[in-house]
Amino acid sequence: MDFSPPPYGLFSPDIDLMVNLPGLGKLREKHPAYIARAENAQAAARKFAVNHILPRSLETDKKCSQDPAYFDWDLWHAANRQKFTIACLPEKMGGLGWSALANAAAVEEFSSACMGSTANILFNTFGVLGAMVECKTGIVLSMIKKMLQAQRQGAPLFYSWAITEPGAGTDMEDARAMEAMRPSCHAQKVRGGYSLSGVKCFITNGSLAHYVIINMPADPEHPLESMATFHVPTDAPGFSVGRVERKCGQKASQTAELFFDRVFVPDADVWARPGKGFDHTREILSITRGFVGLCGMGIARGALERCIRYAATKQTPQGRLIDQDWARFALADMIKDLHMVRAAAYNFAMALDAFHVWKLFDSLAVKGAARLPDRLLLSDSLLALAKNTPASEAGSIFKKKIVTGKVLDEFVKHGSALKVAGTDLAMKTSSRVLDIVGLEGMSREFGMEKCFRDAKVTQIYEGSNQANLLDLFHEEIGVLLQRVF
Amino acid sequence: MDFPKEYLQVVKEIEKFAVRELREPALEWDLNPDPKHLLAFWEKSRSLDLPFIPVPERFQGVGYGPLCQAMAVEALARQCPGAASVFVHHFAGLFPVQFAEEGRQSELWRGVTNGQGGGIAGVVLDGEHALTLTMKNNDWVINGRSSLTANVSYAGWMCVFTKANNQENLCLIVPLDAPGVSLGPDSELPGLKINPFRSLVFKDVKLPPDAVIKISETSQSIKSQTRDLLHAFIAAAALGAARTAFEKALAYAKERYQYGKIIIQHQEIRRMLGAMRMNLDAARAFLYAYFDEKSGVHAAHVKAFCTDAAFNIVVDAIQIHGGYGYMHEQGLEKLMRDVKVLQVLGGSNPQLLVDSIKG
Repeated sequence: MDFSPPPYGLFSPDIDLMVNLPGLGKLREKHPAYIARAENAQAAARKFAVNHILPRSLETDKKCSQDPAYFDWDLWHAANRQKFTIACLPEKMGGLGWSALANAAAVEEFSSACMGSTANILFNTFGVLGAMVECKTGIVLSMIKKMLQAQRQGAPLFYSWAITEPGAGTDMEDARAMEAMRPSCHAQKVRGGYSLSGVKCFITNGSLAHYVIINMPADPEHPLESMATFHVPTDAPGFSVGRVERKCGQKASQTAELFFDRVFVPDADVWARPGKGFDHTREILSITRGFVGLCGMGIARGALERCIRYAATKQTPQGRLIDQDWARFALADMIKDLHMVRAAAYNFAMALDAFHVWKLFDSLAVKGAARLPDRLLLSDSLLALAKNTPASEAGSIFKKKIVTGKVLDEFVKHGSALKVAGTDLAMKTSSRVLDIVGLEGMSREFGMEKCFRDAKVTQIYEGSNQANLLDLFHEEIGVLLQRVF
Repeated sequence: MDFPKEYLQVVKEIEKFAVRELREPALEWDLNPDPKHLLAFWEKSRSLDLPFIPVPERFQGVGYGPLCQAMAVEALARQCPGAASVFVHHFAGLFPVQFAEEGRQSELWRGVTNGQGGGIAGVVLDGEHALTLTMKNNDWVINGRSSLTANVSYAGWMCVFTKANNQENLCLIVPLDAPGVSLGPDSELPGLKINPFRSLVFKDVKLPPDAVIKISETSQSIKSQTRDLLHAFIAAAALGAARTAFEKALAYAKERYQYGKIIIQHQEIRRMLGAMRMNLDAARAFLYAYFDEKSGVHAAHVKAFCTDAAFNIVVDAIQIHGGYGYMHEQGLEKLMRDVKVLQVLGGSNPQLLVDSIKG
């Protein structure tokens, strides 16, 4: 009898995008390059996950339990060398040119190896997303320039997205809730800009960030009407980092408290002016929630694959664990759920390519810009031109034509659904897997208990699943009710 | 059910004691599970006669039965399921002692009340039949490696159930300082960290003939009674944790303001709390029904039902707390990890359900 673990998922050398999602075959007939790019991304991510992330994920988790501020820089540099940190930038500019589909394939591989490391390596794209949402040409170009330069020099460059406050989680992510919130932050208008004060908490990468994209109301009495988005360098006077939290899981990724004590932000760094901050948040959420669902699906997959690997060799008094009828039913049931959520996740990712900001990369303007020689594209003169108001607004207007309000509503709906489905799957699968493998399989060395610890927070961040369900209902049914009555 | 008044009195004392001695330190022990913390706690618990609850009165113990022991475990687990788990295995390991001959009994009970060798017991059920027992020159010889076992950091002796080479089930008292006994590596389970689980490695461990508690056909029944008790105590520990999680979530829901009101005013939060309370009460009723012999309740079912219910309650308590629930200082994520271990302790729940029905 063969007792070696089956070559499956992460533990298989074969790329399985098309095996898992055979429906893509039809798409490949018309767009072979699109599918090939995603397959390449999966192959690169699988290789990196297996060779770099997996071997050290347990050790890093342990080091971070002792010291929450420990950071695995070696892993980050290895990822940076392979450009995973700037993967979303067009290839011609120096990035990897990942489509949302390619991104999804990579996120699945990374998060099935280690969710915390995934956040460290790939969540930086939040910064680019933030810039793309406003799409002011000058901001986007200067950000891309900074990212490319940093990557080439091997220098860390982290962007954080600071939304949550000690007294406001859901309230910062929902318009109806924001109206009634009690903000603890205040962006006071001063000459030439704003003065930011307050506390943000549970901020991913907050302790590492070089730039923070932050939402604060200009008038705390009217938070929804005055919410604004700012881009703040973390060396600005008055900015400081509080403690790095001691979490249950995802320990490799740092979560910190951020303090703002009269931090001055010039008008040029106001990304969304007062009253537009919520829209900015909502647009980012329309993308990121779906990706968090994808991460959840990845965590579930990682737990399941480790379980199958363990069960294939574990002997019980009745024979191999994987040969037990009850275990096979449980595993098949989990594989079934995984397939269903994965289908939804990739459908969402392809929709991002078709209708959301990724579509901009396909536009002539961006393709044209990417064709410009490096020197010119990233030169200061072009940057100056882009900062010129009419040129900058042109980008914004162009983008709003593609990503309309209706498109956003659709993505909030589908993203919220996927977020809940994926993260519930993460929790359910990672917990059930431990029930199957029992006490010994729950030992740290097999990695399944880590998947379980990592999973729980996915149901909480990026809007609690309850907040996501409210959004889903509102976008799918609530709007109809308003129309009828 | 009607709990005996004297048991309720005992539990009240234990609850006060646990709030005082466990509530604060439990989080620190979770990060730094140095055995000295628990040993100091155990020492203090002796002043309440906590470790002697099962010891018969005629041996200077309290002499209260398994129901009282389960209630004690539940009370302790409300503050720290890890510390409670040490009592779970201590109480289960002491159960077979009452079947020993009078002289041997007296000796073993005295070890517990005097605190010699810590006075802490443990139990090895060897469900995986990993141990072998042979008779050599009038000595029993044990070999093999047990599955992961609780209390190995604390116990003076373990009550070990295993089959002799003639396939007879025996119950032995094995001192952990016997030559040839060693510990496997720390398994680093996610929860119950103050009680690190390790396997026990027996290499030609020689024991005198009187190490066997009782040589008779009832050993099998003592083994299943011990396992049943272990299951009931594990259920009690999980429910103690769940009760704390529920109470914390209820209190937090009355404080936290979100979406224009305190969150308990949201129907969905109340539905969650309602489901938590319902499952908690149902599980507790099921657990304590087990101690009514007439109920015919299966101990493995009690364990599976109560630990599953407790797990869902703790997870929902974290959800109600949002990000705060995921942070160590809140104590809820520790409860989730602790209950997760309780869920698979004594056999994983799906396996127990399969085994509970004869096919």
